[in-house]
Amino acid sequence: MKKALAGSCILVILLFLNACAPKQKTPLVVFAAGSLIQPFNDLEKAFELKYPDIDVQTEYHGSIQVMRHVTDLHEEIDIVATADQSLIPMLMYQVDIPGTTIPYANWFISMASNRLAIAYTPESKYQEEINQENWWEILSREDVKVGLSDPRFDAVGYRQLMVFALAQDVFGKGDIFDTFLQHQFTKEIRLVDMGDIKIIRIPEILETTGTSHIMMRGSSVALISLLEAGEIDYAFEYESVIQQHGFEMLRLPSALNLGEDSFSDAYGKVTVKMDFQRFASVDPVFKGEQIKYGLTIPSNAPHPEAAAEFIQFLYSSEGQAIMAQNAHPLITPLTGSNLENLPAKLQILLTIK
Amino acid sequence: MKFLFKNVVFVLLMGVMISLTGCSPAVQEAPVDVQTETPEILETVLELVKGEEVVYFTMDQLKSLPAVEGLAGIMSSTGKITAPALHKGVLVSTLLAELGGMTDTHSVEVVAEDGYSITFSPKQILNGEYITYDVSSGDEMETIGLLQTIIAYEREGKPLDPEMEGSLRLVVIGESPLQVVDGHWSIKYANKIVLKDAVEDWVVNFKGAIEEPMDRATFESGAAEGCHQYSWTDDEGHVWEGIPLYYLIGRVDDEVKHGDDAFRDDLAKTGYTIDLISADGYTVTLDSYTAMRNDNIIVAYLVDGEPLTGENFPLRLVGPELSKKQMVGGITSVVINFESAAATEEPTAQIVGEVPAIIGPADATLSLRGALDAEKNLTMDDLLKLAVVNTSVEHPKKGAIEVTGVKMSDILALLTIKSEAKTVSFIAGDGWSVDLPLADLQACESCLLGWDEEMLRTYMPGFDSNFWAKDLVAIEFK
Repeated sequence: MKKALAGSCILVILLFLNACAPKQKTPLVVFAAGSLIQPFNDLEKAFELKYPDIDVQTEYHGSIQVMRHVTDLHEEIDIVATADQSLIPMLMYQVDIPGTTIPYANWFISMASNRLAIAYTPESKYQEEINQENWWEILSREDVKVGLSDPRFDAVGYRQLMVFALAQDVFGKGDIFDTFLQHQFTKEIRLVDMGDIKIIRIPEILETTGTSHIMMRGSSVALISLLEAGEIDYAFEYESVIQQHGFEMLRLPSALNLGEDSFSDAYGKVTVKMDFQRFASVDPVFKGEQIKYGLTIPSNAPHPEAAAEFIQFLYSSEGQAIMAQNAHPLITPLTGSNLENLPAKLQILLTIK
Repeated sequence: MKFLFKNVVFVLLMGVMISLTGCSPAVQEAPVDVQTETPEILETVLELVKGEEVVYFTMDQLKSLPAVEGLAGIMSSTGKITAPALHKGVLVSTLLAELGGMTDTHSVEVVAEDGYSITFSPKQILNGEYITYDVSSGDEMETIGLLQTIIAYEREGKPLDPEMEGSLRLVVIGESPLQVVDGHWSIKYANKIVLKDAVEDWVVNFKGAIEEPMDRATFESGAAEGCHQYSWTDDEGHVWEGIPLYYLIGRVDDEVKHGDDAFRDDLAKTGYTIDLISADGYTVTLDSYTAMRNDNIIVAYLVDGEPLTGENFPLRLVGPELSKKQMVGGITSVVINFESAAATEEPTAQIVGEVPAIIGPADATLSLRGALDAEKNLTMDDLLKLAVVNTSVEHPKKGAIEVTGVKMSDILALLTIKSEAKTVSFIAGDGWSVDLPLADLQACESCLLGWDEEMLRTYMPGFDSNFWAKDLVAIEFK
């Protein structure tokens, strides 16, 4: 009886080993900004077809939250892709992996840009009338429902406010910001416009008034379904997201869309300051600048080899095509910060034209 | 034998189950384990703070409070949904009762061990006003039933995992499994709740050539680092932070509120006075010479990093050049008395402008630039506000001519010329320019900045005709 029992145990162990051995995959943990959901989901599928031994595990968050998982929560992540590349030096360069003197990162690739634009539908009020010159006036009309993402939580949220502040210079009207926002919130979002210095103050509590024509949600993603359902007429979104969802799009002038390198100085006139500290490691001050997505492999990535293969694939013709199909083309040739520190496997990317 | 067969089948089944579990490709979060009593549980798990008052709770103390249960689920900022699960804990409003309760004027900051914090409004804590989303589609939906904000210590009957999310998690519970709320209202590792008085807003009235009621946010923006932030440490080591008085005066001494030339040196030189008036009527008066571009006279809004309170609220005048008596607190208004400057002027110094005999081009502009504290542009309207003279001047070649203009000395009085400036350039629209010593221009009582119907000109009696500029567009100080 003992022999039979021992034999069956061995059989079980063999079964276990047999079942597992060929199917074991390398998990590749990718944390990315929410606006990358669609292209990165497509990338994941294509990459896994080519590398069946790697299981890409994507998780999407707001850009600050992406960083926080690395530097505050100390999670082991293989690739970080943020919609605000300035967060990488601000947080990952400055913070050492606990128990070491090694920073979480010492390089990043400027992966892609984006532009802010206004999404709407054929059913949106005044959609036949709206254009690059009058959008702010139409969005200020009381009978127009405008969706805003919450600047306390979302990069689109504070960037859309920057657009209104900058518009005052572009259109030579000093009341554009207040015309749109005044009396819409129980505690006002304020702009102090000193010409070359514009400071937007975000209060700690942000709730719309009962009569407001603004509908504010925690993220720009939450505005998409409201726009689809006709609950709102217009919403600020990234151009890539608008195109991915097939909305009508009003492009903003270069001086306002936060996507043009040549306008960086102009964007830099505006700063958004929160009246509170949300993350211990993030100074709640956001300066206007060109939107740039940053990509890096954290120094404590458990699978740096697989991470490098993913980034190589991203920059392959297939990967670039996927990004382009999602209206989110990569920046080439490669630019970024401290690219001399790129892992050896990625040095070849520097030859991309 | 039958027993043996059963045993073998059982072991085989277990093996298959183990192998299936072991091979599962998805990395699933492990089910929450039941925590047994550990020494940590006896320690403080939550702090309630209101000002100086702090109340500490151990887990046992928390569990001794009236408990509520409900379903809490979230949708992340990227649309990922975590389905509702049964949570048990204590209402935040019940906890706040320990601090005297929450009213409409309070806000509640929830702080997590990992440094995250977020502030809740009275509407959220007291009325459960949150946006809800359909658990299957993520679409926004009407809230079903009552929502409540709790500090949870159990999920599905088991303690929370201290490693994965902390012993306590702030969640919003409801009655329906069909709805979730925004993920940022679910706070893991929660360990502190701060009941805050709504920051008291204030408005101080600044009155000069224009009137500007200045509120807290506007003042704080101006006092931001990189803007006009100045500080002073008093004898007792208290650090006062604020904005130099003259910056604030610059906002109301004329229509120009911002920029280098917001503060009008020329007006300050006329000797006006500034009244700083407190809530009880106590008034401190400074003269404009004392305040002019003086970074040591500060209107403070913070002391040791905290907003001013008591008799100093909201603003206090401080600085090393002031006596204690001058450091008025509780400022409610600041008034510039231009009349005092006018009253002290000698009647003979009053220059009465004439109606211009020659009307100059309405679009003419003169740039005053170079070694000046603040560069200026003067339009024809600006020039006509000065003392216009219609007079006869002696041209070196043409003889006496009738001209209209303003005295160069009046133009120079508008400026604060830097000490290094020694030369003046008259610059014409076609790029032509001529230099002369600044001292010569300052000494010339009869020199005029004038105009004809087409352009600005200089009329320079006693100077060579070369200095009689036509189509003048700029005067540069070098």
